[in-house]
Amino acid sequence: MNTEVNICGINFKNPIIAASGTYGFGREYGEFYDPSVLGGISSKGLTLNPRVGNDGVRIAETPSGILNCVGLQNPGVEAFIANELPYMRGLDTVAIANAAGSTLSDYERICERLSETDVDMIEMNISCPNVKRGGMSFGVLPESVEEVTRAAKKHCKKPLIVKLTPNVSNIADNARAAENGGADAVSLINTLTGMAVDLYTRKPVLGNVTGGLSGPCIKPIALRMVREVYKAVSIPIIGLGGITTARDALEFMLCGATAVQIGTVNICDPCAAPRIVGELTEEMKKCGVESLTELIGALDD
Amino acid sequence: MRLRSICARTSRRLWRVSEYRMKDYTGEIVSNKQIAPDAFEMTVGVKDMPEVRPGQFAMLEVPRKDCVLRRPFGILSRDENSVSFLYRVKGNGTIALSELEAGDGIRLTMPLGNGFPTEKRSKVAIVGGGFGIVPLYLLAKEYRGAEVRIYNGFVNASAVMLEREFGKCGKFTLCTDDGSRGFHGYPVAALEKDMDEGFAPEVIFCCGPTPLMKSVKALAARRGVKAYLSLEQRMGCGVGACLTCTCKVAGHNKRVCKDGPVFDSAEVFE
Repeated sequence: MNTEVNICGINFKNPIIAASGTYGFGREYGEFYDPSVLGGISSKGLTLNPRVGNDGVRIAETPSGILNCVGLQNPGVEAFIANELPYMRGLDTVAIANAAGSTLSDYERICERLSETDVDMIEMNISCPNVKRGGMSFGVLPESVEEVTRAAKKHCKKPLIVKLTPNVSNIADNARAAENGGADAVSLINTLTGMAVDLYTRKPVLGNVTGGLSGPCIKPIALRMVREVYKAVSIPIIGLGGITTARDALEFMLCGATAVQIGTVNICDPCAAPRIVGELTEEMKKCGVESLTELIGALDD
Repeated sequence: MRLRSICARTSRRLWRVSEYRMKDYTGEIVSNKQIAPDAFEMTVGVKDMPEVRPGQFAMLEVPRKDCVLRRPFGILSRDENSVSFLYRVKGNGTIALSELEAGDGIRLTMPLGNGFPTEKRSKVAIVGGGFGIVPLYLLAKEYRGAEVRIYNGFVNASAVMLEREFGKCGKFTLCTDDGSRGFHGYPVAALEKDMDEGFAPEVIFCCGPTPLMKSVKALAARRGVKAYLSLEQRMGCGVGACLTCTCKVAGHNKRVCKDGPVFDSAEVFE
């Protein structure tokens, strides 16, 4: 049985990729198992300069999910290249650098810098506040998605994945905008904005008041959005949102994803990744497929 | 089980197994009983039980699908075949955990964090508040033979836990906030009183509510004594990856789960 998939000419031994922000650079999970079992790893979101992230409580559990407001704490792109990338490269898995910025030129410079390294792909996270547009996110307005993608792509010598936010009116429009801007692939969905409150103290639970919702509770939304995007674009899709089993992963592929990312489940279970990878062939048997690529987009709707 | 075999195989191949290295275990509940109004003591049988340093903790899976995060519990004690926890029943997760019965399975990751530094010392003060006493029990036992004075504080007499156990580990001062038993006041005040009367600990260890730890930090600074505090923070993964349990240590972000949970008092709560 063949679990391999190919995105933009990059071969993945299986379609399971660790999602950005849930897996660090792989080291911590490397104490439990060999992260090379994964098809790929998307790094913690990287900014040009180190970022300390948000103050106060950064995580809250909600029914079948979690809210987080880490705020992109990361060592910065140079420290990543010097200290973390060699570790990721030492693994037998696709290395994806996740790039975050707050201005157009941030994205250009990060993509340029990462293009000088031996990362396999760059995933551009465009749900950060855009000061140029008065606090709107790069990822919200399709015109803005297209603009930042086009700008980044000019400076990017690696396959460029644009990670889309679900907090929009029509994600298919945003995926099309990314495609028009030159994206080689899209990944979706990032977290849904949410909040948790403490009734008795009358205070928000999170230090940042709002946070990003992830975990099994968002899976139905993510599946719907992957399907909508699959019908709107011709570039490959990496699906994510609440995957906890290989069955979940294959459901995303059925809806149109070429590969998937697993995020929150790593936080909930440190051995989730090898379990999910290990379940793949059994699920393929149940689906009656020899190669996982047979499933991509094959939903009968 | 496939997962365990993959984990075990990769760990054998790639890593020299250190006795303190964190691992994922499947255990079986030996006992799970209520010992105070909101407190349960749980013992989990674990094959290949690892060594544990005082102050280390475990992440326990909750037997409820909608409670996705594991819960961090300080390790109360261990032996070759089991590990024990003492936990407060507070929300959905801990209520579900309290309903586990002998024979039920549970997954847990341990040992986590660095625990307390346990260099040889001849005089040690241990200050605990409420459920913060849990990780201090192994620590108190570690210093058996030294002059150990333990100051554990509770809101009132009905909240007192592990009195007999700590009593065997050193000179024990029970404190209650309302004076319904023992020393009337916070345990840090009881320690300060002893220090005024000549007790000169080389180090103070503390775990408890933030106000208590802040007052231990202040006392340690006033008296020029080293103090180590075991911090609590809302946690996600417990293994250092998700960066949700950060705290400021000497001005820099540190992970409570991986870099702590014990920090030098001079570097926190600045």
